[in-house]
Amino acid sequence: MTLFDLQQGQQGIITKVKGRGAFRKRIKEMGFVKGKEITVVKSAPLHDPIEYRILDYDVSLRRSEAKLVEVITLEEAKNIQTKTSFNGVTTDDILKTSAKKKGNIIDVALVGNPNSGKTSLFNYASHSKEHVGNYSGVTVDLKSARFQQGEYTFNIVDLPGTYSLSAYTPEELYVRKYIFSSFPDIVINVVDASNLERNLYLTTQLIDMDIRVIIALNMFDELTKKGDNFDYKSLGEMIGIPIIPTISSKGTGLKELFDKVIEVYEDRDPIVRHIHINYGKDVEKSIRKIQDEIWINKALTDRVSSRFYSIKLLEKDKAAEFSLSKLENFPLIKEIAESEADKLETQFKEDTETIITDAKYGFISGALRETFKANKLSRKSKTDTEIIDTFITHKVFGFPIFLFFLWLMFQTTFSVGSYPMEWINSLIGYLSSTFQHILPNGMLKDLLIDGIIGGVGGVIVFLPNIIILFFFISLMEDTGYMARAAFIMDKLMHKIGLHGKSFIPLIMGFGCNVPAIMATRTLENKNDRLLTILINPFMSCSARLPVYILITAAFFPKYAGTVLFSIYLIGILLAVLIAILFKKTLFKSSDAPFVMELPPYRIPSFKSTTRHMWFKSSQYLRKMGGIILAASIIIWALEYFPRNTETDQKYDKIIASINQDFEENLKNISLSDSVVIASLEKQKEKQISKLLIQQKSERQKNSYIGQVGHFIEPAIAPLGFDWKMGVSILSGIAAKEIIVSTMGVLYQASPESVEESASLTKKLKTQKYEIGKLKGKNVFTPLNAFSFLIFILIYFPCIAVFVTISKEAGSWKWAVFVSVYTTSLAYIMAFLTYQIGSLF
Amino acid sequence: MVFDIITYIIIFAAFAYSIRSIYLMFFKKRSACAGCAAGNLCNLKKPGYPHKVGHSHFS
Repeated sequence: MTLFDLQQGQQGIITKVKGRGAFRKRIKEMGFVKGKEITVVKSAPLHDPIEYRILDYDVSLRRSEAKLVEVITLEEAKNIQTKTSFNGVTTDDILKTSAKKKGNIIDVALVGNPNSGKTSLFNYASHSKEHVGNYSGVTVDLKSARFQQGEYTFNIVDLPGTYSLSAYTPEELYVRKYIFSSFPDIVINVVDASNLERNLYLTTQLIDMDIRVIIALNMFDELTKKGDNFDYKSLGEMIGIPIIPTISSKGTGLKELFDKVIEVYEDRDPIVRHIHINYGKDVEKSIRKIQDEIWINKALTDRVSSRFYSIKLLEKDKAAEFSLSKLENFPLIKEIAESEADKLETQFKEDTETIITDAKYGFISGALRETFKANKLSRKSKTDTEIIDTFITHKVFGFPIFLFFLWLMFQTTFSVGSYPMEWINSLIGYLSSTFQHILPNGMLKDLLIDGIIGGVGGVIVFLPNIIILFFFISLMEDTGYMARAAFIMDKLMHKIGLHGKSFIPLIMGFGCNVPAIMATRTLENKNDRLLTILINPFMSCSARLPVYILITAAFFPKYAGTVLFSIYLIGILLAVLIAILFKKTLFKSSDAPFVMELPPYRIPSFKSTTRHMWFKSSQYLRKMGGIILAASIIIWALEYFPRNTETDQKYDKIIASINQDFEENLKNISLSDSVVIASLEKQKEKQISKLLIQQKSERQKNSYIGQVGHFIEPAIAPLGFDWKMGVSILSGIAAKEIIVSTMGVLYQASPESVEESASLTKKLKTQKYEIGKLKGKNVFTPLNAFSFLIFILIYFPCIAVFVTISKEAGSWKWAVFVSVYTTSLAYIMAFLTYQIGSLF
Repeated sequence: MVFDIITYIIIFAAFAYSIRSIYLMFFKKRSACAGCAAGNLCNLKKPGYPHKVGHSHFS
């Protein structure tokens, strides 16, 4: 709570003073320090200002200022002591200790360029497992963690990577808003030591913001390996920011970094001071003029830097204008800013943004000239990255290499994955037959065998394939190939009106469309974002992989890997065609320039790759135990009920009469004629078994799900689908794996030749129509199986993607639009595939 | 009979779980991130951001 929240007469103990600059300095000098007791005396007539008593004197603070002082009540202080060593007597010392304990919680925000290693630092410091990758824009969302070092607790927040704090991309704005609204006690600016000049640009903006910053000079090993000489201590003294070298992937220097955070937080570090970057006499004069007008609003300047806003207004930053628009004197501020910007632009013949950027880079260049010496001798004519890139991003070989990599990924996923898949299949078959023998006949047995083992077991066998797929995706992300893939695809993407950067969310879609859609936040242009979101569902996610493998293994065993690859390729081609169509109709705008960093290649660590695969596997297994299990049970229940209908009674009667006939026949045969008896018994069992299959089939037809299936059957018949495939497609709306679990439940009724515990692949291959015109014919043929794959590839993504699209696109309409257009397209494509294929 | 009752309880639980999952995703404004897609909605007390540690959004 803050001082503002205390009621009249209530006492509190100060735990933290936020705010910045002169306000923070002044209020601390007045005795507002950690552990001091303060009492609310009274409010002025309009509740502002409020009078407080501290150190035996009265002081008045405005409400806005009181909100910047964090306190705890006496009761809270006592509670903190009770938890430790309170002996019943509250003394001043005890209260001070309590306040200090409360004040020992430091809010830290990680800010830095994309791919500078913020998330690695975050993971190592807080023992978290957030995903990291060797390309820009892995983190698109805020992540927080809490950890302890010594007596201090750190609330650490990992923010998306940004090159600057302009209102250029959503993340840049997001980071800026976070700093100004959450007021972290310390900002750790993670700087990539191998790319100082560009990384320090963001630092200059943090300097303008006048907040407490510490630089983590990350990947310091790369700098030393090159033999460069960097006097970072001098640079730190020069810019008033302590600099600590770190190697976040190994955890080197992190203890020292957070020790420094404590020192700065406790105002014990002698280096920390606020400096002004000199933008030149004329720009400084303009900044000052705007600042003079902003300063009138003390409530604002106690929290945020008037200099930062003045600079942003000069740069014509819309977000800054919006933030200040509620100020009473905003029209005047804006007028001054516009006239000063015009003046500077006329004078320098450049726009103000360029003038200020040039000055910042001038400052950085000057600072580095004094502190950094590159080891020219160690500079090879070509770096390893450049040598690899001559092949990987080659204008002729680049594209085939990329396609070969994709083909290899799917071929390996299929071929290597088939061995462990067989083992899991056998285990499931064993479980199924064991339950068959040990459980008494009844509903529970049917639920366990047909519903749970048939449904969940049908999907769980694909776990090895999912692990292999994610191994490849992890390789792409961690080595730096992901950014190259975007680079290679840039030309093609340009042709469809997007740029290469859009390709990263598309590749991520191979894993899961949800994070892939969220990753579109890295795109600057709103139309590009929207378009990338709209075509993302064509990227086959890992949830669709089980369906593909099931069908390809059953109907295209010889070319399974190639068919699998072709499905993914069709997805990419469709995405391209649809993007062209949308670009020409819905999003007519000019192309955004391709600005994307190509990070140096890095060998992925074994730990990070295995962790990635482990995380995905556990997520997949949790999914099995959650929504897939629930869906399998529901599908089974809908297929199992209603029971004891007229049809059931009809079959029971026929079976009873067969048994009766058998008994009567026995009477007419001599008991010694065992051969005839055995033959009659075999005949009877055959008849009953046939009837039971017919009964199961008819029961399925009349079940709740069967009724739904038969209702939609006329619509899907032109695609070559039976009603069970139709129901599987419907159930896939919740999650794509449910398609397989539904098939596992619905295709349980095995033909006579196939045993109950056989694999789903075998059951699908031998599945025949039991009734109707097609009676006796195979349900699946390679043609309708391929048409089914096409439909699954294109139609409605899943509920989670639906919700994500509506959230990321900012409207439900887009989510509805995606659902309608993908499903319609899926229908058309599957129809064409089946009908054209039937002609041959 | 006991087995039948157990079966009905399991079916009811499956229905309840599914309805809860969909309700939370649509109406509690919880982020439909990878975890939620996995049928494990975030164990957040507060809806929306930030997410707890250990809950990755990335594939």
